[in-house]
Amino acid sequence: MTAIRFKALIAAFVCGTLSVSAHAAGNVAAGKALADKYSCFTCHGKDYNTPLDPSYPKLAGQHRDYLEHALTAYKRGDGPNGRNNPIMAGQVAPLSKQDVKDLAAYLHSLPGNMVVHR
Amino acid sequence: MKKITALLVFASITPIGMSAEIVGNPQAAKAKIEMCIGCHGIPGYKATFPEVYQVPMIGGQTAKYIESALNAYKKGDRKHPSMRGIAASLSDQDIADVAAFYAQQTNAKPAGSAK
Repeated sequence: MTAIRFKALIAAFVCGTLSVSAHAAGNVAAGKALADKYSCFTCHGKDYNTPLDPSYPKLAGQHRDYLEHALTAYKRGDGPNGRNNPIMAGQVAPLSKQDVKDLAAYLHSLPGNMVVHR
Repeated sequence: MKKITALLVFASITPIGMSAEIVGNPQAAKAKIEMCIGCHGIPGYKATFPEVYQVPMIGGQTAKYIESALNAYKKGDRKHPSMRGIAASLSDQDIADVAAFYAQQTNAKPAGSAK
């Protein structure tokens, strides 16, 4: 294999990986539009870091894939690996799989103050 | 009859009084977070069953939400298998202590190391 062909192969591989991860990551701007549309800030706070009631979670900066899981679990409701919560059940009902990804990407992109310590 | 009435009144208010008395103590949590740190104390740690994703950051989360989430696992409203098993083993006091412990964590203060 020539050096040029090898470089092309690497480039193709990198491009492929990037496009796949970009697709899987969700769209921050679309997520912000959805969060505004469904008024998530009413409970979770305008900066998503100061919830209206302390029994509601901070969301800003939380892991993207966890947020996707949590929203999906609320959609499952009483089903396997679901979450039964009357408020969140209503909130997630209109969301598509892509909406869930976009919302997770947006909330993850916000500056938060949660940490991982032992 | 007065005694019985007094007893009934006392019995009906006691549970409320008891639950209000539970106050989380971060210091008391140190012996109780051994089950938590294996996942929530490791940056980037991923749950693998039944779905793969990074376990949530809980350091600096509000205490009341952590309590609410643990109670939802305990009660069965949240169905994640490993968290259900762990929450079921916790008393109300354990839940309050663990929640208080994680809520007080900040970036500036890596306080409350398990050891």
